Amino acid sequence: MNSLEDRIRAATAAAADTVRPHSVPPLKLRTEQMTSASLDAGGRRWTRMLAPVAAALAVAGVIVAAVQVGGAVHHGTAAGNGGNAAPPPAPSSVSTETTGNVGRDGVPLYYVALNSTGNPVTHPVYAVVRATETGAALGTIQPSVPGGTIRAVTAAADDRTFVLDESKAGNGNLVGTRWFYLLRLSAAGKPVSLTKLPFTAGRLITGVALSPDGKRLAVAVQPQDNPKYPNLTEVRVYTLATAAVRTWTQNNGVIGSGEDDAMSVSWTADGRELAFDWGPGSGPGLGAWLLDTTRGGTGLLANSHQVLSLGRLDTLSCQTDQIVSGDGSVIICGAAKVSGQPGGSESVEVGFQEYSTTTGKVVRTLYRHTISQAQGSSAGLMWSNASGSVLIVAVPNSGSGQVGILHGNTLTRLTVPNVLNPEFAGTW
Amino acid sequence: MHLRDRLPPQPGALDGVTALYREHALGLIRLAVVMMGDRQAAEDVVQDAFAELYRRWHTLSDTSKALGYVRSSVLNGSRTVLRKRARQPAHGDQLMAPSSPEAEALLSEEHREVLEAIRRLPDRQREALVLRFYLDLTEGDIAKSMGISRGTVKSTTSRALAALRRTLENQS
Repeated sequence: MNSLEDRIRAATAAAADTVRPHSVPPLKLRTEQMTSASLDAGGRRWTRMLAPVAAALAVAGVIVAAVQVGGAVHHGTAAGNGGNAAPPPAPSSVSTETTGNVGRDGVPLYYVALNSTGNPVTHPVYAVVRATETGAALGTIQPSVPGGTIRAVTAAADDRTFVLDESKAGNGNLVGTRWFYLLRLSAAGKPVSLTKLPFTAGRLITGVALSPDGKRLAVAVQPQDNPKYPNLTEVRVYTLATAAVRTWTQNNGVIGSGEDDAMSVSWTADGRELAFDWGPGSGPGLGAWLLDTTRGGTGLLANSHQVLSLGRLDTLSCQTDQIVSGDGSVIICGAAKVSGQPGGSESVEVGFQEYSTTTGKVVRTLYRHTISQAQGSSAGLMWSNASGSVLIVAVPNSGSGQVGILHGNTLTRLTVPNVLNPEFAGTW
Repeated sequence: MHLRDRLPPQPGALDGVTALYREHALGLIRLAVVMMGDRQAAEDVVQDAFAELYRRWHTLSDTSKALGYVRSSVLNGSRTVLRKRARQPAHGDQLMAPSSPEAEALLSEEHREVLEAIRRLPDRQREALVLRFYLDLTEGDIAKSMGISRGTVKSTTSRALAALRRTLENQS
């Protein structure tokens, strides 16, 4: 039998050959409609939406405010494609509610979503602060420079402090060097300060997480400028106030599932341990690891221990990145398992699984149900309380998703307008 | 109208984009067909990608990188179409399927099974496999096209192959 790679080559080539050379249509440059839609965003900058902030920044310089330490783990949002969420499926073994859980059990009142005027790769992506309860927009943060785009957001535990990851494309590269802004909200959820942080990072970032106290920023980055170790991965932890940085390195492996995968790293509530989703270039080790940031040493895996091993595909298992609960007791992920025949009776079992960081075994599966389509089967996880008993999630629904607060098997639906990526609707 | 709407493109943009289209349109439409299984949608995505390239031509400091830029646009346009379509259940089964009886006749059952299995992969895994095994791009070029690192290309491809192998084994 042919190898799998050969079968892929043959099948894709056959599909491509259905397009005959003589059948290519002429080029039609519809420039007027393209420019009128896409250039509109270019004129809107920080000053329009955050004029009071600009005035404050003029005299404030770099300000890093102290924030309260909380018990929750907040997670990031990465820009992506997608559209508005649709109503969820009606699984028989789980239930849904419409109101009543925002503010309970530490569920944050506010979140930051990423939006774009078009394709987020070719159009600027901006950030919108929204109320969790209603989805109402409370403030908008545009890229700081022409051609800039906000690529990811990460949050502290106080529900008021966020870091925005911005870059500017250039020289044909889709992603440029990153810089970061600290965003602070008022008690009413309005943006009150926006401070450029005194450091930058390489352009290939695969994870970003603000510590729960809002004082340190963990960045997973692939430098790609080391000819001896081209597959080097670094975890850098920056102190926001001073730009001091600690770096852990590892060769031949990656963190996260791709560029701007803001879900790939997460902190415990005490800010001591950093969970990361490790994908080795070869050999074992795929899964979740915990880095002890209080220890000496610069080796990433040498200073970490694996708490969840992945690799089995025949059971309900993690399909997205894993995050650690604030108390460090469990690793949580969106899980899925595809069954049946493609194009026919395929079904997708989805849910949220929690694994003990001590034993690596499943201790709880939430909102487990089966849907009929494989498309959009990833169950997105965006926030967890300290113990992992309350989550903010996106559950799949025919390729789109429904965002909600999950208490056990009960999902309280949230209104999340203009979602770029249905699996990752916002940063709480 | 915004003032910038009236700015003409830089000299050479039309010639440059037209030449690029003449040379690469067939390959890019084929790539989009492989990704989406829909000829009309593929043509639309490619047309939009070239229109966007034309608009941004003056921002390219190195026009030799234009092909990589437009290929990335095609990938992202295809991804957007697939996600929009996936939200419409009536279109769910059309992904990666041929769009005409003539095209269908050209695909064997074996090819259809593999294409359907590829269709079920997450976006990035599907794109990584198509770029690697259909276009035979290097890891570096895949990384540039997808806007991700080489290491991520490696792990994404590895995970995609594992998932695809399992899916196909279940069918047999």
